[in-house]
Amino acid sequence: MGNSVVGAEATALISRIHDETTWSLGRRIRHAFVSVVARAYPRVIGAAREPSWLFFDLVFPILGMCSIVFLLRSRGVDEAWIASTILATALLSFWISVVWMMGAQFHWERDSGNLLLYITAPVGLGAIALGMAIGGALGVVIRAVIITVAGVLLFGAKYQVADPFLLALVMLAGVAAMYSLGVCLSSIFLISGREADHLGSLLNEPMHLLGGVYAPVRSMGTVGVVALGILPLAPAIDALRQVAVPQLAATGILPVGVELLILLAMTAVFGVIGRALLAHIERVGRAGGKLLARAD
Amino acid sequence: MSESIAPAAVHATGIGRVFQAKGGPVTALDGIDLRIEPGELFGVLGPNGAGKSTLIKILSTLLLPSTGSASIFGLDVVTETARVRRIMNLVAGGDFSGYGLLTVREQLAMFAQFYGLPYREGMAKVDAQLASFGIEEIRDRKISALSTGQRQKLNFARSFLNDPWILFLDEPTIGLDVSAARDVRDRVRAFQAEQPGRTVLLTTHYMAEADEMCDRIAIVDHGRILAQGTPTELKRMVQKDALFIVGVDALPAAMSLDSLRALPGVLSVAARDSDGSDASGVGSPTVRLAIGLKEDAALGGVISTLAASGAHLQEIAKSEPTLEEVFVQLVGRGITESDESTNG
Repeated sequence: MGNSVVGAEATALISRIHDETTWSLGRRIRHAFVSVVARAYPRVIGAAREPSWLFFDLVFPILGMCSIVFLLRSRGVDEAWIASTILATALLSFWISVVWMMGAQFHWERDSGNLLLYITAPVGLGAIALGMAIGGALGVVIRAVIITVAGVLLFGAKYQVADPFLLALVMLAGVAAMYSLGVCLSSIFLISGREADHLGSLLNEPMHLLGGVYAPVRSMGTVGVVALGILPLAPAIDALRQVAVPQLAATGILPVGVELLILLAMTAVFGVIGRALLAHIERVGRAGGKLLARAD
Repeated sequence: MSESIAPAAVHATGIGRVFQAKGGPVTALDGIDLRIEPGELFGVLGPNGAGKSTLIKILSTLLLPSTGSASIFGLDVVTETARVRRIMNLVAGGDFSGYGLLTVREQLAMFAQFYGLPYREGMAKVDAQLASFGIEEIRDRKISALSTGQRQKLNFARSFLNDPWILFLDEPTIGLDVSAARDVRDRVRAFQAEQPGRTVLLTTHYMAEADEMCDRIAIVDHGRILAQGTPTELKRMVQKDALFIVGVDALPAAMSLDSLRALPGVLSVAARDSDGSDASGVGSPTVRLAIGLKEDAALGGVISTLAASGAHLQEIAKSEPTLEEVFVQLVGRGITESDESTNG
C-alpha cells in the first residue's frame, strides 16, 4: 500500500472531500443550466454536420404533404385547407422528433453506453432530458421553416396572421407541450424495452388522425375532444389553424385562448410526470440492474 | 492494521447482490467485505461471472446492493449518491459512448459541463487531457472516425476531467494493443501520483496488468473474495518456501546434487539445462539449479558448497510464482476459462 494515505492525513483528506461534495443551491442550479445547454449542443450541431439527415427529414414530409395537397385539389377543396395542411406538416415534424428523438433516445443512449455515464455523473436525468428537448426543438425549427416555405412556394398557400405574437405563442406552447410529453415518453420507451420501436410506430401514424393534422378534430366528435385533452398535437394544430388561416376559424373545436391554456397545462403536467418517471427509471434501474446499462 | 481505524476510500461490508433471472435468482455477489485505503490502486481479479462488474456498479452508484452497505470516502453509495457522483468517475472497456457527430474536443467539453466544471476551467482541462493522452492531433476529428484505441484514450481523458478522488476502471484495457494499453496504464499511474489520496479500483483479466499496477488485489469467484493482499502476499500464499535459481558454468564431476540436498535448510534441489529442461546437472557445461529452501538464509550454505567444489556462479535469482499460478490455485481454473454467466 505504498501510495495510500492513512491515519490523520486520511481523516483530513476525507473532510476535504466531504466539503467538495457539498454544493450550494446556486451551484446546483448553474450546473443544471449548463448541463441543459451542453446536452442541447449535439442536437443543434448534429443537423448541420449531417446534411443527409436534413435531406431525408425534409424530403419525406414534403412528399407526404404534396400527396395530401394534390388529393385536396383534385376534390376541389377550399385553398385554405392547402395552407392548413402545410402548417400541419410543419408542426408534425416536431412530433416526429418528439417520438424518435425524445421517446426513443434514452433507449439508444442506454445501448450506446451514454446513459451509464449520465447516471454516474453529477448531472440529473432531468437536465439531460431538458437539453435533449430544447436541442431537438431548435434542430427541428429549421426543418419546419423549410417545409412551410416549400409549401408556400410550391402551392402558393396564403396566410393571414392578424396577431403574430399569438401565433408565436401558440407555436411555442405547442412545441413545449409536445417535448414535455417527450420527456415522459423517453422513460416509457426505456421501460418498454424491445417494444420501443412498436410504441414509436403507434405514436406516429395514428397521430395524423387523432392530432387533427389533415382534418379538424372537431369532425371526430368525442374522440376529438379526448384527443384535445391528452395529445398536444391536437390543440396545437387546431389553434394554429384558427390563428394563421382565419377562413378555417369556424372549424376550431375550442377558442384559441382555451387551447393555449390547455397546451400550457399539458406542458406543466407532462413536465411533472416526466420528472417523476425519470426518477422512477433511475430507481428501478438501480434496483433491477438491467434498465440503465446495456447487456454486456 | 492501525490505519484501518481511519476512514477508507472504499468500505464495503457484507455486500450481496441477487439478480432475478428467468431460471430463478442468481447470486452475483455474496457477502463482499472490502476496505480500500485512500491513494491505493486496488485490483479485482476474477473470471467472467465472478461478480467484478457487479461490485463496480454498486460502488459507482449504478446498482443497489441486495444486502450489506458500502461507502466511498465515508459517503453511502445508496443514500448519498449525488455526493458520491461528484467525486468519482468510471471507465469501462469496450465503451463506445458519445455522439459520433461531435468532435473529440466537443465531446470532452460536453462532459466537462456535466461534471460541473466552470466553462473556462473545463476547457483548460479538456486541452490539458488531450495533450496528456497525446491525442491533440485528433481534437477536431469526429468521434465516429476514431479507432478503438483512440476512443479508449478519449474515455480516459473524459474520466480525468473532474479530477475524481476515486476512479473505477472496469476492464479498461480490453481490446487495446500493447502500446495503447501501456500508455493508458502510465497515465493512470501519473494521475494517481499528481494528487495523494486519489484512489483507483481496477477490474482486469490481465494478470500482468494487475501484478504491475496494483498495490493490492482481491481474487473473486462466484461472488466471494477468495483472497486479498499485495501481489507479493498473494504469491506467498501458494509458495510458502523460498525457491532460488542458481546458475553455474558446470558442476564438478565429483559433486552430486545429494550433497546439496543434505545441507541444512535445503528442501529440494533439481537441475535444469540452461534452456530450462530437466537434466542430470552433473558434468553439463551450463546448469541451472532450482533450489527449495526453508528460508532465504539457507542459501549461504548452498553457495559456499558450490564455490568450494569449484563451480563458478553465473546467476542467482529468487523465483516467485506468477499471479496466474495463484489464481489457478485459488479459483481452480485459469482466468480465461470463463463461466457461462454474464452478470459479472
